[in-house]
Amino acid sequence: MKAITTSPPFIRTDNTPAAIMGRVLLCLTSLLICSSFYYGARMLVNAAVSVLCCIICEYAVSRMARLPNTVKDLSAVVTGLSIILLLPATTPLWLIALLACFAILIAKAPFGGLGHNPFNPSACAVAFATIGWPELMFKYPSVPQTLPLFSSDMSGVSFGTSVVESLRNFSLPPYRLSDIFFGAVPNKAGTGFFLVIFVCAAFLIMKKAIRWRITASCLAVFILIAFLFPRAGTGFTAVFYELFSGYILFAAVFMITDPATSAKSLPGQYIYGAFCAVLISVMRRYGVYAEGTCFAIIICNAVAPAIDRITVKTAGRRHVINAEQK
Amino acid sequence: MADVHSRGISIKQNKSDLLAKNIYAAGLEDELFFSVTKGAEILVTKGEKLAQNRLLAADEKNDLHFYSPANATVTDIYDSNHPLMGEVSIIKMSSSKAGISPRLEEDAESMRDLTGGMPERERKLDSVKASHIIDVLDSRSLYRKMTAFAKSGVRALCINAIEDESFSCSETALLIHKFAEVSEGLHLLAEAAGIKESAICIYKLRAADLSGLAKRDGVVVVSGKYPVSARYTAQAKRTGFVGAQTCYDYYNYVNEGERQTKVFVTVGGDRLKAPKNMLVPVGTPIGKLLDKCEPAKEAGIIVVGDGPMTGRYTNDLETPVTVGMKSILLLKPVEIKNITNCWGCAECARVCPQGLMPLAIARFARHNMTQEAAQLGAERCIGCGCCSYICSGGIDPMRFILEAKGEIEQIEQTEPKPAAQQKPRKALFARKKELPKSDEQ
Amino acid sequence: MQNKNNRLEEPKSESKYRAKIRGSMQHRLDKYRERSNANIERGLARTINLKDYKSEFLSKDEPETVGRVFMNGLLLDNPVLFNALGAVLIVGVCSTVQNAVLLSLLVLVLLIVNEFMASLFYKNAPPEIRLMAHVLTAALVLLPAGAVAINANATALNSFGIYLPLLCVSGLVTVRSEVFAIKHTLKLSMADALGNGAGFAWVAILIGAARELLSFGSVAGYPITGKVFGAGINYPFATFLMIGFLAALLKHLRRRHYQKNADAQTPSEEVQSDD
Repeated sequence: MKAITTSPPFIRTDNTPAAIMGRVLLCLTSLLICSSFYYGARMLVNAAVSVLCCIICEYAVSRMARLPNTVKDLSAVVTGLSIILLLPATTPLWLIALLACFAILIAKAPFGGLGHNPFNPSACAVAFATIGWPELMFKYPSVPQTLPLFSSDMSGVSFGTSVVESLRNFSLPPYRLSDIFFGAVPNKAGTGFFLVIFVCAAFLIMKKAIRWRITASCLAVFILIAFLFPRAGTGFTAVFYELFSGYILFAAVFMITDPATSAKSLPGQYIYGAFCAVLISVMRRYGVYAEGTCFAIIICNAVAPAIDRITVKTAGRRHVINAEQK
Repeated sequence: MADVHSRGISIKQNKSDLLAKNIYAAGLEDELFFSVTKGAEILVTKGEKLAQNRLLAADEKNDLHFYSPANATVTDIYDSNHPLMGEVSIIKMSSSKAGISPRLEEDAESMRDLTGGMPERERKLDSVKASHIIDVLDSRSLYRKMTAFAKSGVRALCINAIEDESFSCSETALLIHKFAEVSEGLHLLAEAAGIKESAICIYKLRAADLSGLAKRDGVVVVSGKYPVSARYTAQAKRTGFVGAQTCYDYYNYVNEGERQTKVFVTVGGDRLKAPKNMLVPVGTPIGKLLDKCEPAKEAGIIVVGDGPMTGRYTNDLETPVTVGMKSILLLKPVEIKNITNCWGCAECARVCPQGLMPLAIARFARHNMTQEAAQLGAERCIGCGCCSYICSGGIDPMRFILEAKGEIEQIEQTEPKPAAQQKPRKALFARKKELPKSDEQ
Repeated sequence: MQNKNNRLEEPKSESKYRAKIRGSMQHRLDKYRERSNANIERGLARTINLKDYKSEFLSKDEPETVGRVFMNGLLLDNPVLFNALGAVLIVGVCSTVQNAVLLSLLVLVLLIVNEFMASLFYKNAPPEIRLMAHVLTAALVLLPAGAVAINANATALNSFGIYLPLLCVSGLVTVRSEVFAIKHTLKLSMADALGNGAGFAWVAILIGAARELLSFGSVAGYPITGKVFGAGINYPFATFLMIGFLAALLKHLRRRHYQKNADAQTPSEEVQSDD
């Protein structure tokens, strides 16, 4: 028997987690399609493996915990898609399957599933991959080329250096600016299509599926840091290289704005975004790896509840003072 | 036009059809269930035959007087619960439609008093007192309210017809159809209390524009997201608010000598096929009214009061219509889920007009952690229901927050605040000799 | 009580002004002393009452036998998995089976000697002194034991790094002595030491084997798969994950065990500690 409200309000929106996740999923799918133009059908195979593993794990977990079927809220599909977009297209399929299972079985399910996970599952999976298999994670195929469909033997594939790595060596990337902007340089599979990401961000913000405050403050602070402390080039060129390299933009739109793990109070969201940007910049400059955004995201997720606690309390105190003054 | 607040929710306003129709006059039912407040002294006995406008009960403490809506015979008197008034005594009457409505002697006396030798203002307020009208906004005595306004130096008297909840629109309909009477009643009231300015606040609705209500004299159109009414009344300074029906009733009392025995209600909701605005005798059971509006076959829940956001649930079809019941709705049942279904989307924090964090407070309140809930400002909740409306997890945070709020208020009443917070300012200006003593303690 | 004894002695000749100042100072000093005493007591209470395993897992009427105490240490109240005692040693040291074996032998020796001393000699000492005594005993035992271990396998012991001296302040040794040994007889304490040592040992060796297999492709030096699965397994976070999931598994088994055995005696839920 279902519980029915006997206390107001008696009308509700038709908003569900599945609706919000569906909008994010739409954007991720558009990125997947873009990347499959560059890398061939291999990306679709990757996506199928990852999403299938995520769904199977999620379903198994929901059966084990005797919960209603939690696959329906689509969060597992979103996790699976964002994992493969954050890996190089040449990643072997067994690793993708392993990471998908890791994201669901270790980073998400033990804490209670959607909304109760302290860390972003896809960021956890990518961090795990970066630590465990760095030689696979930082080898980017040059674009465009058609990759082998299933085999993990990449002997016929040409590889190139990514923009992040040349920035790390304080040298100018050997690519044209337009190539960088349209993602036609070696990079993670689905994070180089900045034009599409901008459109997605606009769509998601308009539909209120993500928290624009986090994205805005993160990008603003990141641009400021890149402008003040350039690694290659000067002024706006440096900002261009920093912003359109690696997956900072993808993370700012899709990952740090994840409703379940980011800061929830409105003033806290600005602080959270700024903190993310600072950490990402620091990780890029002084970290062990060329791209440490996933570690920065995990640390930020851990800090988010504390930010909430501080900001909400100060907000409450301020109001009390106002009331007394009146 | 005033835009009140950007935070809140935008609810679908489905009232245009309702407002375009005329107000439907519901006839007298055979059986009336008149509800009077618990503290009132009941002046009729079982089996007694009553004339219309006969005083049924008087609650002197709150200055509420209840008048019979029709010629009737009292068949039963018993205690019951009313969703809006709480514990009530119900006077069950069987009405007789024959007979005219005689004007009571008491009324004639009060009218005579108007011409007496008292100062003008007191004389006018006296007519408000004699009318014994109950304000539809908060179900309080109009006389008490007006004297309070006169004392506290209220500058403007305002009709609050800002109905920003969906379905409910009886006040706006009244304004559209009986604007002259309402505005005359408002002027009379303002004059009685010695208030110079007066205005009529309505919500920005398409129907109001179409009918020309928005362009009338003294009408202020308010726009904004949902808890507009609460926001607007809280922000307005030195303004007194009354209901549109109250003004209409006062006008009728002064000009026709009629008592407040009929109310305007909206009978609507998404489970009714022919929703209407009705003029209903007080005491009519709501079941009869719902039957007149062709209820759908699917199961529905009955909500009475201000509207779907702040109304009250009832499952009793004999619940009588009272003054202050602006709408009777038959709505689609809403399923609620366990609080563990919260997945942290924080939509509630985005829409909360008070800037609270409903998801956090609700979680604390659910686990009886009242102190933590109080730290997050649970007592500032105004009960607008935005958080529960917007919740994508399907839970009901507002219920938990209001529970915590009630508990906090109880604690504050029983226990005095700690001394550190009550530190008197005198200490700053106190003599120096006293200071070391307090230090040693 | 204590405060009055600790009061500064009043000098005989003193001006009124000075007496006043001293009085106020004395007042504050008393306050601070009181507060710090309370803090110390609270901290000690927290350490000592870390886990009253008897009230939580066994009904109070049941007598403690050697076998039951041993089984508690080994499985049902495993120090690493349920109380996170000595987890830092496993995370820091047990990257191979060899290290794990060496470490668990050292821990076993320390536990036996410490609990022996505690159950025989420290019973009547005040709690402040007792804790220091446990640490000192452990340090005194570690000197000869460490020397023997270095003779046996110097390279492995070198890889212990800072964790070798940290053994003597390890929670596993001090807390077991403080919680169990000072309240029980020598016989039961020995059973507890052996049980906890064995409980630590199997967890350490299991995790050491898993880490070695995944990061070097061998177990106890014998190559099995021969290739490295992933370098990340040898980082601390993977070990924390392993401990967390092992603890969850054992907790589940323990709950079923108790539900079978006792009627209403179910161990309280604890927050899963992984990641």
